[in-house]
Amino acid sequence: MEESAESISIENAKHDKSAFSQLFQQYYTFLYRYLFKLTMNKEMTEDLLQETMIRAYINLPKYRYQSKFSTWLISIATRLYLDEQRKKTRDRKRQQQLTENEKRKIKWELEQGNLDWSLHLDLFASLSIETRTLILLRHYYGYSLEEISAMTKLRKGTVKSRIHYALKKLREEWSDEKR
Amino acid sequence: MKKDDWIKKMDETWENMDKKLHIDVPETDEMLQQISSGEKRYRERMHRELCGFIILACVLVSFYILIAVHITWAFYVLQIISIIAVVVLLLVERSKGRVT
Repeated sequence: MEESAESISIENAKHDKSAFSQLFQQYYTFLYRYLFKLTMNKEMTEDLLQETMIRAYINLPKYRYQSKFSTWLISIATRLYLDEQRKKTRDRKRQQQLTENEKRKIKWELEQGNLDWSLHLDLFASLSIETRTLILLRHYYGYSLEEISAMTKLRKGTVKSRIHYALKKLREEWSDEKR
Repeated sequence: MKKDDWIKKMDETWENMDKKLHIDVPETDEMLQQISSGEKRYRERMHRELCGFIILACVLVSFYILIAVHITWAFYVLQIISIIAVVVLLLVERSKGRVT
């Protein structure tokens, strides 16, 4: 019942901007939270969210209900985020890891927003952007390896191995920090 | 899915973050405005990219003709390169789901 109501809203949104914005409002918080966990930056989150909304509106006629609407939206947001980061190839190190300065800035911004910076976030931020995305999608949002593979355009095996090695590294570093 | 201590703690951190994060959902009018301006920007960018592609194609075709006319064996080499380029392009488009 709920699904058919949603498909009616999606069909309306394909032809009507106003219906689309109402539909997108329902997913706004969900996407904001997801992108904030990736970027840890409000401005960047808002910019990416706006771009996601535009891409979703333009590509909505191509949506064929092969996945949940939320999954489709999260795929767009993920690709936009990864593409944006990949474009920053001039500074290779920046692309791979957050620098100390950036970490400090993020910590400060989180504290301003009354959010805590834990050891977990510190370790999580030390991973590459792509790996952070994979872990978040797999372990927090519970997406399958096939879904993540389609979202990130990486092979299933690559997704699996990257998650495995990253978690292994995190566990080791965490147990070192606890000692 | 197996969840160990580390993942559980990380999930707690994210849940805590979700709770504390203050989010202002834009009004419908604001969203409509953003969509309109964003759509215009997107179309302009696509138009610019298409123009760039057409100019590049023209330059390459001119170069192709120039070489093919002046060097006989180059004609055959360029034919092979063209066929490979078309196959690669089709494979790329197929992977994107635009060609079946």
